Amino acid sequence: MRGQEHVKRALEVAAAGGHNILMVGPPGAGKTLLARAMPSILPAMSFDEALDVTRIYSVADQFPADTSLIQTRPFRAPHHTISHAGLVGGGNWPRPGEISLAHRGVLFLDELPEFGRRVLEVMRQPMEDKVVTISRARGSSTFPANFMLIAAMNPCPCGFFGDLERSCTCTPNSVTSYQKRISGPLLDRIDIHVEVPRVDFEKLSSDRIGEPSESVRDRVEKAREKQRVRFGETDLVCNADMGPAEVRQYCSLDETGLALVRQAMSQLQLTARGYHRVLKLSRTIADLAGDDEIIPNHLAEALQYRPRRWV
Amino acid sequence: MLVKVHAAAVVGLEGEIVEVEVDTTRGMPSFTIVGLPDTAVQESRERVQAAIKNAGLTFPRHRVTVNLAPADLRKEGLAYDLPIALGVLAASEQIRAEWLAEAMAVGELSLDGSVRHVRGVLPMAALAQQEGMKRMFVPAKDSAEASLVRDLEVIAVSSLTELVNHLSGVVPIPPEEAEMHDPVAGKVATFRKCGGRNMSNARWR
Repeated sequence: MRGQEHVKRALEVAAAGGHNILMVGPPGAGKTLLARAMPSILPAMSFDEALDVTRIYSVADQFPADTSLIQTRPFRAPHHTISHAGLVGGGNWPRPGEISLAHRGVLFLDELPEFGRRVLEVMRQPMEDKVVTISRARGSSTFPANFMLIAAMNPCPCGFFGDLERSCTCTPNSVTSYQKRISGPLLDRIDIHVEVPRVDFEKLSSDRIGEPSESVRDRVEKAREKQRVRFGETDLVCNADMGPAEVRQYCSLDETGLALVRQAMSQLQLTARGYHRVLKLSRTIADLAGDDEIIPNHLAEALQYRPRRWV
Repeated sequence: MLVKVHAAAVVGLEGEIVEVEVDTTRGMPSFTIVGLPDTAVQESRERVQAAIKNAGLTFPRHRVTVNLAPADLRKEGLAYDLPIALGVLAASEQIRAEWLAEAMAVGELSLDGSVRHVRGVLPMAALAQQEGMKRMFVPAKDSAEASLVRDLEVIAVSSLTELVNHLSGVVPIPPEEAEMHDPVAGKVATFRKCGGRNMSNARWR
């Protein structure tokens, strides 16, 4: 894969801490390709995680042939025509949906605005709780749904809004209404927002070969190892799983960091959740760098991943 | 004669024990299934009758009643064919009931007596181990999945004839070898609660 170094970096951070990520860019920039390369940099699953995943696939009757234990992280990419029951689970006897099948792995939603609004909104609660409870007349079932969301979208219906080469042919109204298909609360739950611009000819045709997935994965594994040590015997697996109590415990800032985050709170109009998510994200960036303390550099990188207004 | 066989249902991601009770009495030959069975389970009457006949055994010419307990849990799916067939064979004294003690059986039957894949075998096997069962009869296709559970003898069954020969000791089936995946694989049976962060464990602090 050529170019898009900053997107690869963002994906690396997302993989290291299990954070959600949204990629915005014109068609053909490589969003889908980048997302599909994600499993190659994800860390291996522990036996307990593998067993959780295997159990879900056993109940959903989606067990791959000739395997006993699923050892690779799931990568689910449902089509945007999916119903909300298909996404979160449902049926007279509740069965796990795509978000549970993506447990401990990746849920990739390509062309995010094309998904039904109701379909996207049902994900809000499981994205916070990491589980989904489905109640039907005959009883309720709880399924685990601790997934990492990767979403991709174009900035406008024609796809070229903000592109440097080709001008956008959409009216401002249609751009706004396109972007409004994704609600603010959902965007607030996505830690990393990254733009994926077109790749220019020089990069595309150059012989420079990008970093192989294996070395990225080594860094991700190292960062995960730090997290494993940190969370020890608790149920938490990665930084994205932390609750407010853990954030307070593990994400302390120094004076400069506090000043920076105070400024950001007012300028970016961060919500309380946004504030916690920035801290969790900077914890992951510090883990990737091998640092025990979060320094302002880490915080600054985390802040620039927050959503911005495009219009 | 009354016989009990253990089977399992899957509710959510957890297994739940279902006792298959089979009773045969003299009277007009009939075959009834009670205990909130859904359509697929009702249809298992036809499959069980044909499978027993085509496996070279005899379906009893008695009044056969099958009860799936607990009666308030709705039984769905195809996993009850094999335990019902085993119960009928034991109740008509073609196999001995004590061979089925401390064992769980799941599997769909084909008309020719071969045993087909069912879903959710892993949670069922975990349940069998938790409930102190010694062995489990599973469809051959699902045996690798079931053998992830430690301390449970998993017998892979590909047909009803094969299972009857195994039980009677004519042609024993060796238990499935568990694949070793990880040296620290001791805590298998309990499904670790996912790191869920419900409102119930959020605190004002």
